[in-house]
Amino acid sequence: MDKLVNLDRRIIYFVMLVLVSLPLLSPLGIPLLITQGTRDMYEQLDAVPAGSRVLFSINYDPTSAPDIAPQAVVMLDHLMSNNVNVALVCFSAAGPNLIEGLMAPHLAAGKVYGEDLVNLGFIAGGETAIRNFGRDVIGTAKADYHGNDLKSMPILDGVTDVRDFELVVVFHGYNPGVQEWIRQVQGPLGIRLLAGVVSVSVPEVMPFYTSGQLAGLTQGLRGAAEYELLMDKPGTAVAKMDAQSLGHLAIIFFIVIGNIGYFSTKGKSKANKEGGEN
Amino acid sequence: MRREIPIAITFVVGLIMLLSNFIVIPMGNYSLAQLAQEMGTWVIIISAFAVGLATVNLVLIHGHNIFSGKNRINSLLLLISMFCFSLVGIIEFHMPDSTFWSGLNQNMYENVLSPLSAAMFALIAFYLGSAAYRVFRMRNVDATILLIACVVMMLGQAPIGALIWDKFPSIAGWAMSVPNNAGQRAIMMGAAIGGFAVSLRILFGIERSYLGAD
Amino acid sequence: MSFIEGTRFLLVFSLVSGALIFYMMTKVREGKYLPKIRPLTGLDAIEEAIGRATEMGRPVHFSPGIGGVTDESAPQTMAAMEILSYTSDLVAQYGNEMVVSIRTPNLFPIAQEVTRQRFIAAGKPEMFKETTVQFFSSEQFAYSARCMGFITREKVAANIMIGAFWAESLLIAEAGASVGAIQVAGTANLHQIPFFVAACDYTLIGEELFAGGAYLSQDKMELGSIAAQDYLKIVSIGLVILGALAATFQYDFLHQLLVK
Repeated sequence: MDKLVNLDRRIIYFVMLVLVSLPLLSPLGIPLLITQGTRDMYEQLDAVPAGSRVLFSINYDPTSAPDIAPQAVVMLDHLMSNNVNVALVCFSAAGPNLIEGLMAPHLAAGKVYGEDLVNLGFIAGGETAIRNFGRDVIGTAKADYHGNDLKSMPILDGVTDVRDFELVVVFHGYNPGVQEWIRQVQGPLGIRLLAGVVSVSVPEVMPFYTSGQLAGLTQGLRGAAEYELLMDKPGTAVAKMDAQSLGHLAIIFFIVIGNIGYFSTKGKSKANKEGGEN
Repeated sequence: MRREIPIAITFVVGLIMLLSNFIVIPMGNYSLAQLAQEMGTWVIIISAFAVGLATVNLVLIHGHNIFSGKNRINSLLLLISMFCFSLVGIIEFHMPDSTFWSGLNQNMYENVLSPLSAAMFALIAFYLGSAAYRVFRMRNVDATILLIACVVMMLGQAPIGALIWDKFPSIAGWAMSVPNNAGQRAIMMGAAIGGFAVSLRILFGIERSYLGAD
Repeated sequence: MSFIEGTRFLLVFSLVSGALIFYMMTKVREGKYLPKIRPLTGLDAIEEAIGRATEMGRPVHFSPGIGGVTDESAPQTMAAMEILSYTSDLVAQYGNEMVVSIRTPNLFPIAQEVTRQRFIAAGKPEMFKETTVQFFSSEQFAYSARCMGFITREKVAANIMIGAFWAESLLIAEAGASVGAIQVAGTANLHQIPFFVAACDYTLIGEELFAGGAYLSQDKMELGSIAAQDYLKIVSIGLVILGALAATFQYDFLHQLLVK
């Protein structure tokens, strides 16, 4: 029992590794409940009419991409399949390459750059850049990622500020992200803002969803899995949720055995103390 | 004057940046917002010099390690990789039409830096396991509440929780929407007011710790 | 001259808040009022941690976070500099070794100056070495890897992490736990507070970080601003209650006022 209190951490790491890896090789198919935030996100995106335009703000980097990129992938698939035009912008330096990666399969499948999709590239300046972009899209972005003139692109025809987009979806991996968009754009301009966030940021962003400032909220890899199920196209995100389930169970298991060991050694030391006193 | 000049600069520049968020003051063909933006550019230039200073520190420390024999291999690897990445980036910047150098730069980023960063991020899962095992013990009432909240939230978030008990997701959802929201908002407001007060003290030169000891 | 749309209320609130802060600072400086900050065990533990590290002959590690001095995390970084100042003073008095790890390049000269001046003021200028303040890396996880490696190899006995942290917080904290270091952490980044609470011995939550400088120095002007913060919180609570009532009875006046 003493060993349960001071278990070698390598045992914990090994068990975690095994339990997280196995479902990736052979998915278990554990059923997944859809949260209201993801339902709202799906309904909002599904209701966007064909031919109108939506803005994606890609605020994550390769480090957080495994948790949040699946959301961007599945939502872009949804909008492309509904013939909605999507402009993508980022406010972090790693963003443009990630946007290129998101657009590539759709451009290869026949979508036209400049009409169906555009990469507005990286706009430096953090929160100030978001504010300026919200009020003057073309003036702030100036050119797309490849240096092309934005005024000549059909997708941005008639766009002055972000209110000319049906809605804006912010994919938040780190700052500047959801809070900056809410402070600088959603509040003052009253746009319809939705957010996909990394799991660790969910508690921080939840107040904005419950207050109605965010019209939809998808939560990390789980959000992507839920969205895939709503699209009726279960993919890699759904498979990875099994790994998450087993990982959580492993942590709970170790917490339980740690407590068993703690109480048994506590009881033993109490008994020794009483025996010594007698 | 050694302390007064930086404080004066902090005040003037800080005031310009602050007011540019509230007021539009045209100054001929210029405006306060443009002046603030210009100062933002100066910050980037100063930061570039700071990067140089930091790099010198890095080279000095690791160079010393190599010659003194302490952590020689690690320091050598660090300096070699630092120079390689810098060299490839500089060459690619000066030869933008060269597909070899831009491809190499892209490859080094995508196949070396990105996977290493992602691997470090993935370590969090394992460290979370060992931290949870070590910390979540029912030592007292507070620790027990923390433990129960942790377990309920984990089971509520993971799909398997709904299989164990179908109420876990709704309990976790309530915990996220009500007590978590209340706590987050309270900490957020307190931290925002605290940050505002610190910023004001720095702006007016009352807070001078960044200048060193008095 | 004209106001930017949607910022009038914010400007007025900022001016009123600033005026209140100055009023309270003046009141405290003149001795008319002396606020008391409740005990912050995390900050009290710093001296204990440094003392323990000195007895064990092991170094101290200080990380002021990975935020910068020009972004929205600048107040946290500046608050970290105040606590670095205090920590450097203690380390100099105890005669121990400290390494301050830096991620943001433009924080590097500031941290160097703060630490060096404190060592000089404590009468131990020779203790400040080139290796006391080290730039580790500007890449987030390269920085955390270097921190973890340093803490593990040097068997740090006191690990102080105060400032703006993101995902690397748990990695560094667990490395400190693995070598048995006393860990004091503090951040206003909400998403990292749970990790610090789980992995560290003492945690400063949210605005306790900003009160740290005033608590340690007992400087009257800083104490005055802390007192003003409490009054501002009362005003915020009042606005929250008013807003909840207005929303419940569907009056829009407060929302219209806030977006003016």
